[in-house]
Amino acid sequence: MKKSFFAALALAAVFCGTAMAKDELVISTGVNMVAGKFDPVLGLGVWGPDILHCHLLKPGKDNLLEKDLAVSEKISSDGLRYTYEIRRDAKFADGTPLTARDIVFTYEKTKASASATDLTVMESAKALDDFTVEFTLREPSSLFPHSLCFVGIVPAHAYHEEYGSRPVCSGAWRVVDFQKDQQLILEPNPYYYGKKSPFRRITILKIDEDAALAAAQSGQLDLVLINSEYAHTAVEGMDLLSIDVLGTLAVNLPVIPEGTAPDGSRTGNNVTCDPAIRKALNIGINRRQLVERALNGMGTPACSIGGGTLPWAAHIDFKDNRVEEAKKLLEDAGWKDTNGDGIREKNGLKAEFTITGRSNDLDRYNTVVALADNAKALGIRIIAKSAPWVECRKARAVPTCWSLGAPSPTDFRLYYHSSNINKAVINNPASYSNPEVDAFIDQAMSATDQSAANVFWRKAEIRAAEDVPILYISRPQNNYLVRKGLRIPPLNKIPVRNQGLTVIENMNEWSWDD
Amino acid sequence: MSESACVKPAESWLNRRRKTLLIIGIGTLILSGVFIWGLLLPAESFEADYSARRLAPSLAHLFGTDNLGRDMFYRTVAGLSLSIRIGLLSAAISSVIALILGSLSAIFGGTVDAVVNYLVDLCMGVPHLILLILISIAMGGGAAGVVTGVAVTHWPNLTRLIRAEVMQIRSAQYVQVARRLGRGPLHIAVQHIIPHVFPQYVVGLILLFPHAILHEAGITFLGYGLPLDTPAMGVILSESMKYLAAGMWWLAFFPGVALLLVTQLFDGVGEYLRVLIDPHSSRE
Amino acid sequence: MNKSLLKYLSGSLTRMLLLLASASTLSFFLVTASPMDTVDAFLDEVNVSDEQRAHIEEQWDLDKPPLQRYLIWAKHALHGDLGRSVSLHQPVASVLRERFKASLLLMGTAWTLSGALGFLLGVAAGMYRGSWIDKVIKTFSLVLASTPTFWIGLLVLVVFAVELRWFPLGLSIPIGHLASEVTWGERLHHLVLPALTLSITGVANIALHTRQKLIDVLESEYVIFARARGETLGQILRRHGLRNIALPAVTLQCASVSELFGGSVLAEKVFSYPGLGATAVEAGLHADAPLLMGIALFSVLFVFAGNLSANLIYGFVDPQIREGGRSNV
Repeated sequence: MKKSFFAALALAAVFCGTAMAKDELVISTGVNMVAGKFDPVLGLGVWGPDILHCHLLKPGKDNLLEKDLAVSEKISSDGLRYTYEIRRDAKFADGTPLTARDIVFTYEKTKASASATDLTVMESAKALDDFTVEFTLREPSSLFPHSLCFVGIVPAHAYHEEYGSRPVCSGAWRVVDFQKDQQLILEPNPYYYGKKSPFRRITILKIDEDAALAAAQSGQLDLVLINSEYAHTAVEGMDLLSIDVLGTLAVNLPVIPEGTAPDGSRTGNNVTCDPAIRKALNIGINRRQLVERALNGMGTPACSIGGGTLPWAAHIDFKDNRVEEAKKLLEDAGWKDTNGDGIREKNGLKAEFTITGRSNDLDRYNTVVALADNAKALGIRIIAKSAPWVECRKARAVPTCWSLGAPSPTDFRLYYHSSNINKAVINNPASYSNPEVDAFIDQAMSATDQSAANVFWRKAEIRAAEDVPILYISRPQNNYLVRKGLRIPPLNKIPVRNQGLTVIENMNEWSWDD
Repeated sequence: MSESACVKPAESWLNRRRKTLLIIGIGTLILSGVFIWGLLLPAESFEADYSARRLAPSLAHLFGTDNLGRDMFYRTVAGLSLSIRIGLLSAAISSVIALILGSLSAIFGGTVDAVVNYLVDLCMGVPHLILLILISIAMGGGAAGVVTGVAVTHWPNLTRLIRAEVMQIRSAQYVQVARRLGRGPLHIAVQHIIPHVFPQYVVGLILLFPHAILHEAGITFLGYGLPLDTPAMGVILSESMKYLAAGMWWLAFFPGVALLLVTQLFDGVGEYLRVLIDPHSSRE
Repeated sequence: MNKSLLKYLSGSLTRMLLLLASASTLSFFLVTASPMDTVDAFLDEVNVSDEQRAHIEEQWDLDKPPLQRYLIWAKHALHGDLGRSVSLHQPVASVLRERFKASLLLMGTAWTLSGALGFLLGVAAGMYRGSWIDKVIKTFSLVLASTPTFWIGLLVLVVFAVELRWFPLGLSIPIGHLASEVTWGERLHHLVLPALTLSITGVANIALHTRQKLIDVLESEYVIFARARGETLGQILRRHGLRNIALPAVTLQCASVSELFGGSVLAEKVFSYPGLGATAVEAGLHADAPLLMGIALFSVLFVFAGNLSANLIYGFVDPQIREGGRSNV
């Protein structure tokens, strides 16, 4: 009897004994940080916040572009040349100074590689001297400075084929040990010019969202990303931290009737091409209820892509849940329920269509299910379908639920400008074409000043919103369980959703409350 | 042997043969029942019901409800029916392939035999799940991918069986005699070969089902195969993984037990059928 | 004997090469036929211009026709270069090397466990045939043999890791420790639950098979004769039984490598264990052709080795075959 008791005690002690010292943290932010794709040349900065490298510019307070590595910026009057002077005290984690040569190397390598970072607009990069770099563009583009935020600087002298697993960091953190798909151990980069973290070591674990709650309950973690579904489960010693993020859940509603695209694929939707249907859905659904049901309350209703949180996005707000008004809109447009089955018809066509929700993102599927439930009241039947991306990307014909929103207006242009219809796989999924909107976007692109550009972006968005090519629904929050006493300062902006990596963007500013 | 050791017919109506038949009958009845019930279930019975989320098992919801309020009992029944359907389809395809290839291989021998053997080697040389993943990818997931994948991974065993049986029969004395007597190959096939092979074939077919069902569940669990909104067993079990820590154990337990029961029933029916048809090769 | 053994081995080598070539062709064309777009999987919903997309495709040779791509791959493969994984940004060979170690540990442990335990249970059931031990073992084995591996894994996870907290939730090393600091004890600690899950189906099969073989032996003529001579059950077992049933058990184990691999794919998913199985699943979800082909080849090699060992053991150890009966190719 006594033996087994002590054995159990010993086991418990072993388990508890793994508690970390106060200057070390153990966290988990989903599966992405531990995949080992730490190569900015391939697109690290695009997929998530790159805390291992520094960048020329970064999205700072209120998502306005701020200088990071750069200390001055000069733009030529024709908008084709961008010249940056960089700080002189930047060093890599191995002690070597970071010079313009490294920057040129990084940008040229990125452009040449199969990278997720799109630098096609850049013609060349040149080092004018050790600390000045000049970019030449093919055509003026006010979007270019935004791309500078994505490209982390890698050392020209130490870059190799497997850099992604063994990076030489230039940012706030450096990699101490990396077990692919299991854990990443970081320590503050001693040569970093910014704020140094008080923590000696931070371990980032890979924990599937399925196992996240159990991991939190085991008490071994100081911060865990959890799904909105269990956000309300109380865990001893931990508080809930909800961060509003960019990543608006929205459904594209094709504005053209069914047909065939030049490449042979199906495009258009006979039901959603009727503006009455789109407008009715826009004002008739109850976004607050959708947040409650699909996101367990962990989110905010959204009526636009940026919701007034982005410098270039318009602030569009209106009262929704106007069911009677929506119904009248449909009736007036000729959609009547003639056979009493609860679904409206017009000229023999039923107000019925499918919306897909990407199968690896539960939030999207749940939102579509809840949306379908709402639409029932309006007499529109939506069939919710969970499908892998392969199927969802046929969104030009079958609407799907997207997660839209980024600090840069690049995506906005790809979704709303008519030149992007049938381009790439997912550009302009609603096949929307409006010359007024196009004009505003073109003016924004050729502006040489960010604030001038932003005025045009906002005008474009407000005009486009009247036609509802995209139905914005909600903005989910990223939810984390944080150990009591760990202080995470606010980011002072709306960060990108990044599948949960959001919280580590300012990891070097975390500290314990004393 | 004393008299008391003899079975008195009047007392025991339920002799061994009858018992076997009874078990086979009941098993088939239950399986068909599940199959048909699942087929006929209206989609509303397991639709999302936001007022009844996360309920533990009760009289109103025998297996409880999940996060979206869907009734797990009806979902499980629908899932089992779907699994049986997929199992049936893949087993049918598999067995047809096996029948054709096995017979051809045994009858013609030579190159045909070598080619068939090579194909069998290839399909058996790659682990089932890897092959399933590859085929599922090739067909873009979905039910078609699962059915094809399961069919392709299961025909080798049955083929070998049929080939062995046909080869054995061909060299049997009575077949030699029939040939000497001038009977045509079709006559021999129908009169001698098929009746001999058929029982084994049927048993093999039925015993294929549990494998097919489990493979379907497995491949869907991994994320390939059937889409997430179908009430497939693999989907149900894979989703239940998310809620284990939240204490919703019923999401994994009951569907798993139900799946187990169905596979056991298939196994049982197959084994008892084998006892009935071919007592020599069966054990106990 | 040496000559026939050599002939057998060289025949096997030819078969293996043919198998590898076929498997690589098959897997290549299956992945290529997929409607899944590798570039899409790489970009993961990041929007890029058409031009950039074309640039990426060009970098990965995706603009060339499939046959040409395969030939390029084959040429490299013959020199040992299995290409680069597009989803992990690493050479395929190094991915395989990394993951194989973990998988080998898991599969090896499960294999040994299921073999040893299954054998013991089978012998016990066969020896005491008809008794309650036999009934219990038989029933459990029948049930377990057809239970889905991943469901067992889930149950095991709930009971041992979530409720009782005896074992960690997953991964293969403890949290926060540098890889160089991890002890073998800790590695084993993380291995227990996945290995347990993986071995359960194997145990059931071996137990049933061994039991049957033992019953056959005990009913054979020479055993009846031995019993008539007055040998006890234990003596019979030691002198006649074990050798006759050990052999089928071992060969069955060797031939079950294919099932083992499949089971490990599922077990690794449930326990987040970073082995080849988990890699295969992820590679498939990203339509990563080079990695999938590498894994397919590797698994074929693995299974072939298992089957070859089974055949060799049987052919080698069984005196009937050794002494000159027809070889079992």
